[in-house]
Amino acid sequence: MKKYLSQKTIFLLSLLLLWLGTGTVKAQSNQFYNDAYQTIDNMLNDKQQYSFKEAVFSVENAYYQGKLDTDKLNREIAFLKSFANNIVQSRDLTYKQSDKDKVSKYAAVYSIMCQTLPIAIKDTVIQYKPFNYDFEDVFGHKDITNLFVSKLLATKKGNCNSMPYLYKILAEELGGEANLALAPNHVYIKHQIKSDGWYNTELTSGIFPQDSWLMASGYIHLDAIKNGVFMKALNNKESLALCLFDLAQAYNRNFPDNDGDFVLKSINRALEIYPNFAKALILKAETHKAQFEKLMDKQNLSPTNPENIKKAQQDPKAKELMELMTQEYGHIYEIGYRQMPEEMYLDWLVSLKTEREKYENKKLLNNFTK
Amino acid sequence: MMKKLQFLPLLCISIYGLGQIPNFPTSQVPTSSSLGNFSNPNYGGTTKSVAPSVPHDGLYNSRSSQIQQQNAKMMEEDFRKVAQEEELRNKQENYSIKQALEDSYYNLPSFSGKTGTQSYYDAYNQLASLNTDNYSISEANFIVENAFYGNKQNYNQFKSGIQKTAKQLLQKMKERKQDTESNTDKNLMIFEYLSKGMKLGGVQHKAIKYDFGDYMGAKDWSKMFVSKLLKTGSGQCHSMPLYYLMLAEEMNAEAHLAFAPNHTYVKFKDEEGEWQNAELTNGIFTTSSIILESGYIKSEALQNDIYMKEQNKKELLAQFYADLANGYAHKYGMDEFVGKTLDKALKYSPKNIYANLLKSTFQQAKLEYVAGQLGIKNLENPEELQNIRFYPRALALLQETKAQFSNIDNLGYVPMPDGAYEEWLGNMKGEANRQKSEALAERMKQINAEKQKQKQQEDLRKAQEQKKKESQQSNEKAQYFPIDPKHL
Repeated sequence: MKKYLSQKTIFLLSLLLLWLGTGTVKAQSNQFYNDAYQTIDNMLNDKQQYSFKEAVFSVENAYYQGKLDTDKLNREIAFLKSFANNIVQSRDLTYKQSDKDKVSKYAAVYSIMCQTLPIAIKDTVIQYKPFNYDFEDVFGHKDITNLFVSKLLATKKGNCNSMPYLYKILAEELGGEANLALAPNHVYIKHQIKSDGWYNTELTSGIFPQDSWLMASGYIHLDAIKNGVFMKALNNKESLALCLFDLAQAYNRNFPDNDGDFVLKSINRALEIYPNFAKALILKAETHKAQFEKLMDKQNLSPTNPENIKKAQQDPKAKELMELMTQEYGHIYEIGYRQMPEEMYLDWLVSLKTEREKYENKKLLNNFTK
Repeated sequence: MMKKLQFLPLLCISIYGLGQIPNFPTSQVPTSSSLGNFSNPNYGGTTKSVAPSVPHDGLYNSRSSQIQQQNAKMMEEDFRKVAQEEELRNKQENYSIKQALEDSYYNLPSFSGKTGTQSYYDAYNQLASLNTDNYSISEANFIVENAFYGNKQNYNQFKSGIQKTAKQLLQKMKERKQDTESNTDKNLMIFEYLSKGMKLGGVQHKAIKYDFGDYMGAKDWSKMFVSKLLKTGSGQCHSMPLYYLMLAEEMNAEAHLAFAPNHTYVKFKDEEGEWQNAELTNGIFTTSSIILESGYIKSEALQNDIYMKEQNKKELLAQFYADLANGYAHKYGMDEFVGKTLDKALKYSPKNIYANLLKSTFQQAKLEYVAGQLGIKNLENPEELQNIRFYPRALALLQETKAQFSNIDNLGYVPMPDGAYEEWLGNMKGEANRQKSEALAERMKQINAEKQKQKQQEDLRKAQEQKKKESQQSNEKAQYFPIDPKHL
């Protein structure tokens, strides 16, 4: 048995060598991306201690090809952490339940993210300015770094990607927890506390919205909620799956013409952890589509002509990709995902402010402000 | 832990009882040894062959004294056995008295002495005798309501009324040339009958009205009943969907009950395979978002399927058990029957939020009673509550009660204030929603009409094909004969 195994490994190794020998030209192997992948994979395998901060910065560093000043970022995080600790100590919440310690931490992080606070430095009182929502390039189409936490820290302006990430990082720095949750084109925070059970923190507007606000967006199908595609409190490992998606997305930006291998590797790992992760499923299908188009290109078939799509499938590999793609898109629809047009997104986001009365959980704000 | 301790003495008794069985052979042992005595020379010596007469008479000798001894021994044994049994019985009685005494501390006092409770116990057994996956909704509902009325209602009368209406509705569909096989059409028909009213068999039936008075049945529990709806023509969110389901059952249409906060409604699948929500309190078809807008449905509630999920037969039966328990609690109060009935409900549908909430209410009542028996008057006072740790059974009860609180929280339940519920029902009636509902109904009708058309065309095509085939066959036959001779 052992001998068989070793023979098998030798066989596999030789295959690997063969593959490396022929494939290196094609595969864009990038050390920084491989490192970031390894870091996150190690956390997923419990080989390395979990740290959402480290995972996020490793992704951003990969995009910057090692040029991210992580020391500086860590110092800024450390400053915010001590600030948050000060808030926890100096402020007594009206909240009365037994998990008050935990809730005080959440409230402190919330204040740092969303509220203007007076700070006394010796004799003078200065105003601390919270982080703000950046209406420019909210999806990072022009520049993916607009989604980054490092950008948020540098400019104090961010979006629904960077703000909840920073919130989660700070909550964990304080020894607390925070669950990320997804909505169409959107990320927000969920906490479970004694007085209210699960509640939402919306950082782009600093409001605690009821679930009905998200449901009223009109783009969350009932099945998507049931299947945990949206509005599910993601655990730490599932949050790392989000980082793997970010990594794959950044890789595509750095290497627009890549062969898809690294992207698929990252996405597949993310889907192992969080199978109904819609964005990852879509990117996977899109990657297969890109691979299909590449094969068409090879055969000198223009993808604009529908006839050619049939023709291309005479290649068994192309046919397989096409079948995979069809199946993948079908699955995405089945689990309840519906695409929200990007122009609808901002309208919806703003509706929380304009219809605040209807959607806000007022009890929570009262708990948190005193 | 306490449960184990209760079982221990019981176990001992049963082992002791088993121990008696070996006693029987031992009482036979002397007989076998006396059999051996026949070979005794003494006995053989008595050569009087007249002996087979009555042994007690003439033979008053050593042999008879032996017998006497043996008899005495046997009697002694018997006495011992009787004494033992007596002791055992006393122990058992003592035990059960003590047990009953202890139970009286830890169980709510029973209302079984009150008139009418028996009909509830009977109803429980009747529900238990139903096939969980295939029972009549009318029957199950009747059992529950009849228990409240002390078994005095007439099932056949109830049932035949529903059957009659169902038949008339089907007849009406035929008159309108609708497809009586179409699930959507049948559902649309029931919906129209209930929400708009209709002339059936020459009698104009009015739409069922929503009865705002005491709609939670707080003062009068029978306000929840379908029989009340049938009598008065008005109902609420409990009785209206159930009546709908009964009509659907009689018309062989598929429809399901579904929950929303403080609310039930009907779901059915249309021809396109999409779920439709029939809201009977307002007579509109609602979209999911209207239901979600109540603001009291958390995503966790949907992930756990406590709201907006169609209930299967077994889950619906759980609801009937919960209704039975609730009716009993309203009529008499809380006792162990309520707990037992709710456990049955939760066995069939562990996440049923209504049953879970009732269970929690039951547990709280029980805990309060038990704590009171133990001298703990105020459960809210932590210092007083601490004393409960000396009573393992009470402590277990406290923990169960707390566990149920977090169970309900984790299911995603949020309490909805009464005002909010009324507001939500009111909002639903808004013009925009009514229009949406009309559009939904129109769409369903159109699709049905199309389907029906397709079906007719399909039937026509099939009929033509069949004709063609037949004519072909006959042609073939005709061709076959002329060809055959050629071959010859």
